[in-house]
Amino acid sequence: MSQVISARGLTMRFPGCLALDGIDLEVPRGTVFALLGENAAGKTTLIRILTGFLQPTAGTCQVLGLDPTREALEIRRRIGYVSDAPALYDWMQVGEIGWFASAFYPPGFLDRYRAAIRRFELSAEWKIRRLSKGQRAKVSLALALAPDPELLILDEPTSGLDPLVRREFLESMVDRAAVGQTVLLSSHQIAEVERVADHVAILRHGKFCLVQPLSQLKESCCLVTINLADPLLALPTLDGPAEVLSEQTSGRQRQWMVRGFTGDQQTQLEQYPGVSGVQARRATLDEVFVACMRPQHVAASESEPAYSEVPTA
Amino acid sequence: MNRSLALRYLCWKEVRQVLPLVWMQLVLGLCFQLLCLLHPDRAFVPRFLVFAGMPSLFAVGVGVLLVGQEKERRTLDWLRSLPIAARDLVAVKLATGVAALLAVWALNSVMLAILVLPAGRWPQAAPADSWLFNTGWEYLWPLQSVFLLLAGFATAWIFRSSLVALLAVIPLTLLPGAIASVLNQLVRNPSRYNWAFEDPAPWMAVVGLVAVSIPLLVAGWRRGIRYLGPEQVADKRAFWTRAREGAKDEAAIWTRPLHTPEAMLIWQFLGQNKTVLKGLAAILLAAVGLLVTEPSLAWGGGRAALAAFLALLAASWLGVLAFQGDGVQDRIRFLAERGLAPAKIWWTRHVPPLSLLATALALTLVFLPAELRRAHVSPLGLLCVVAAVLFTYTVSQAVGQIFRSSTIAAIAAPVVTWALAAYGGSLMTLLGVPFWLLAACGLLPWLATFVLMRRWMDGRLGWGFWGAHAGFLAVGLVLPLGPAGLVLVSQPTMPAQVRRQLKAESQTYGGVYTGPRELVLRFRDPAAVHAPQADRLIEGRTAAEQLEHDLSLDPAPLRFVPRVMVYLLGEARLARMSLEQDVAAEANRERYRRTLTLIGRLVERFRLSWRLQDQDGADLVEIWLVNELGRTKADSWLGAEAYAGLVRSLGNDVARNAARRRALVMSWAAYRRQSLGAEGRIGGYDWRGAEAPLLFRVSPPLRRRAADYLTWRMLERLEQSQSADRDSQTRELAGYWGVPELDYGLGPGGEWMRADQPAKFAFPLEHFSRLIPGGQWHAGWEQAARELSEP
Repeated sequence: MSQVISARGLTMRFPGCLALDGIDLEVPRGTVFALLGENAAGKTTLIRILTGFLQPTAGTCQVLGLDPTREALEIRRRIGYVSDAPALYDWMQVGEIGWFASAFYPPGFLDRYRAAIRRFELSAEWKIRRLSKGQRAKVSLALALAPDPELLILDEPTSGLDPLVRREFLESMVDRAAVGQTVLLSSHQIAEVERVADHVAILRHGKFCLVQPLSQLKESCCLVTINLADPLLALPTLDGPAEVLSEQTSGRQRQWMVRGFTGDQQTQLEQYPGVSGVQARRATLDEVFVACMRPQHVAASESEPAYSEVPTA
Repeated sequence: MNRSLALRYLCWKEVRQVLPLVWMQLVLGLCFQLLCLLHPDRAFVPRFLVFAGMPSLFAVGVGVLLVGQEKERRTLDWLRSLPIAARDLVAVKLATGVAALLAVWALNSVMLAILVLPAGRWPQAAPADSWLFNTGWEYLWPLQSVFLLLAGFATAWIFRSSLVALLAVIPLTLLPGAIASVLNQLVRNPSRYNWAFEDPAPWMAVVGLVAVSIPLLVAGWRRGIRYLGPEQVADKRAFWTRAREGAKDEAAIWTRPLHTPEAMLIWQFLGQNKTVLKGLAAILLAAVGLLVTEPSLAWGGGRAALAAFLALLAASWLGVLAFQGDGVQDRIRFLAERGLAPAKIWWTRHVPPLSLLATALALTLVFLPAELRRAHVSPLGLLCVVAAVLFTYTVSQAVGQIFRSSTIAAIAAPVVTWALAAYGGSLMTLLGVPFWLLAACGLLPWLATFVLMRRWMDGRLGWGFWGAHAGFLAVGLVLPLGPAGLVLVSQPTMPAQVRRQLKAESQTYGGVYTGPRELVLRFRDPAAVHAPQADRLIEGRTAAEQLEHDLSLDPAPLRFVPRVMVYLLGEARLARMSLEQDVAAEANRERYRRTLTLIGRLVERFRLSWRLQDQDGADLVEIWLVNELGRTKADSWLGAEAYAGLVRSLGNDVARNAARRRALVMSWAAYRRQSLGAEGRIGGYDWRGAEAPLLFRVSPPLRRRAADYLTWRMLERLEQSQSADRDSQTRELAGYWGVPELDYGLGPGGEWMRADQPAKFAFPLEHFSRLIPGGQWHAGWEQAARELSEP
């Protein structure tokens, strides 16, 4: 499968802040690729580099086979992009801005834009100045979708949209992927992303904690709950290739987010002295995300110190 | 809520917000004041205007900065959401503006004092500047600045766009003047309906300013409180607007014809700036109207000056608009995100403003009365007007790209333009920088905005962006200095040690540079003599007696005056011819002897002169004497004593060269004493006309440097009678003085007047006035003179 986006060792250093720390990324064609991460994780920085608005401090990347630092304009012409704070001309009407933008794209733009705003239940006559935040987001999305781009890059596209429109929009992304188009979206709406994304990448402090097809991720990640006789009991490390992504202790219960957890390992744990029971179930994306964001966590009610280090397989 | 604490924090925020404008006006004011230092003799009016004008400029901008900018950035909406009374917000903004204005006045006063006091005295205003001083009007500047501040606040609260608010201040500024004029008419000339020609008194201006300021304060206050209160939504559009917009139904939008991207971009520019463009078009129309109705286009006419001011202001703000229209709320990102070519966007931003300016210019030319057009409009003048407007526009568009705040950009653009224009003007007058070079540098702001367009569109306004703009500015400032620098580097000059020696030497001569006395033939002066002398013999005798009388009265050096010497030499020639006809006549002999002796005495006086020109004149006369005394019977005609005295004097090379050296050194010292910009003459020679490098001729400092070099080379020539590089030296000197190389060593009349072969030396009187600096030094006649003096 060819890669629509590829990046190697991408680093972005702002004064006093390392926004991206040598990340590698491959986005396959015809997928919905979700970029997840907490605030200031580096998602927008990554997108701005991919669209040529920022020049990386180090590393290389290619979008649609083009180098964003040299061929940014061509990339922007070929992609649909919705930034985190879309810029619109307040004085134009909803229809007028589409008519205006159609001059910069091949024929068919205006018809698709018209269909999009109808789907979003916007009137062409409305002044953009008078639109609500959600309506402005809809206009931005309609403008990004109208050129029918081979790659859509969306930075928090559903923020401000009502649940119905959000769901409809995200599902339309799946349709796009089905016809070979690619969508890269960053979002905080994990539950919704989970429904549509093929691939997921979780960014934390400028590094990817996890980059995987969603199906594999769901297959491999388990939430393991271990009942302990003693909360301070030290558990044995898991054999490879299992990896404990996070550990959380609450009373006499310890929860592990484990990637590659096997039945044998569960049996071994159950037989460990001081362990009274072990339950394992598939983790949701939301749980994986939280685990990546907080690899080590002790419930707020607990006063006992947690393990000093994260056990690894 | 602790109200006093909240107000204090609000004040802190407002002060932080206003600081960029304070710094900007201070820096620009300082630049202007430093520019004024380049012209110390003519700097008072500009200095005062900068001192008084910068606070006014600040006053116009502060309201728009504190209110308009917050509206555009929507931070005012956040302030509205805070639990602070609307009147407190309005009051804090107004109070901060007033306090900042006071601070700006204080800072400008300190700056003026620092820059003026080292001179030891307060510069005096010239009588021609009475329009500005000693009329009482100069004390109205602070009051006027307060009025401008209130006008700025009122318009900022009323209008949504900062630029529109600034534009709206312009018509308001005319109101106090109009009220003062009406008052003037009513008080001084109540019975007539024609306007009084006498200017309004200062108190009338005060009444005008106060009368407009109070309603502005009230209007600003009320609009501010209303703006910060609950939003009142009402359809305030006129019915025709509503009808027109109603017609824009959905179908109409979708069926609009599609145009090229360029046309759409121009449409978008016009649409987003239509209010400001309308305002600027109105200003330009007003300027055109003022120009075409002005009876004479003289600057003193007032209307023409106002028209020029309005036109340049409009050009400046049109330049600012080119990029600020897109900069508001980062609108430009819409185009950047769609991958539009920066070059395309760049030029489509410039087409509408430039079209507007071109239209205004065309309207002026079309409607200007034919007689005025014939009298004042020349291709060169038109080119200058276009250049001034374009320069204003081009600098302002760069300022518009540099500053993110449209308020600061709009305030800074005209001032930066004027500062750069003043800098360019100073370079032209001081260094003689050619106009074409300045014009080329004037194009750099275009290049800067073009090159940085992509960065600006992408919002990459980091050090790279500012550094590149600063680099272009530095190139623009330094490039005009290039030719002068090259000349300085490549052109040799007098060694510092020699300069010190010559300076010391000039002081040993007494350092008196008063001109030598003028040699006058009084009987030839029509004012002194009523009846012309008929008899040449009597006339010659009278002339000789008069000159002898003058010489005996005053031992001062004499100025070589060709017409006097032509007369005397002619007289000597006539005497010789008479003598040749009747050698026995004692009267002829006496006439000949008396005239030649007089000529010899005059030459001695010429040699006393510190002017180089008088020395060269003396050379010519001495050549004539060598020729004359070389005649076989000259000694018998003259008598042994007179002959011996003359040939002894002619043969004294040492005294002659000492006189030449002193004259050269003193001429150089006198030249250096002249102030910058004064018309330079070295030892009586017009130095400005020399064919030295162009910059030497037009730039006083460089000209002085060249004069040093020339003096040094002439001294070398004087001291080395035989030099290996004499030919190249001659070529160089001839080039500097702007005379043919052939003139050195030859007389001005050509081959038959060879100075190095006195025997061939005839005396064409018509060429006698043509002197060549050092042209006869060490020529063959000096050897002939030495031979004559040898026993």
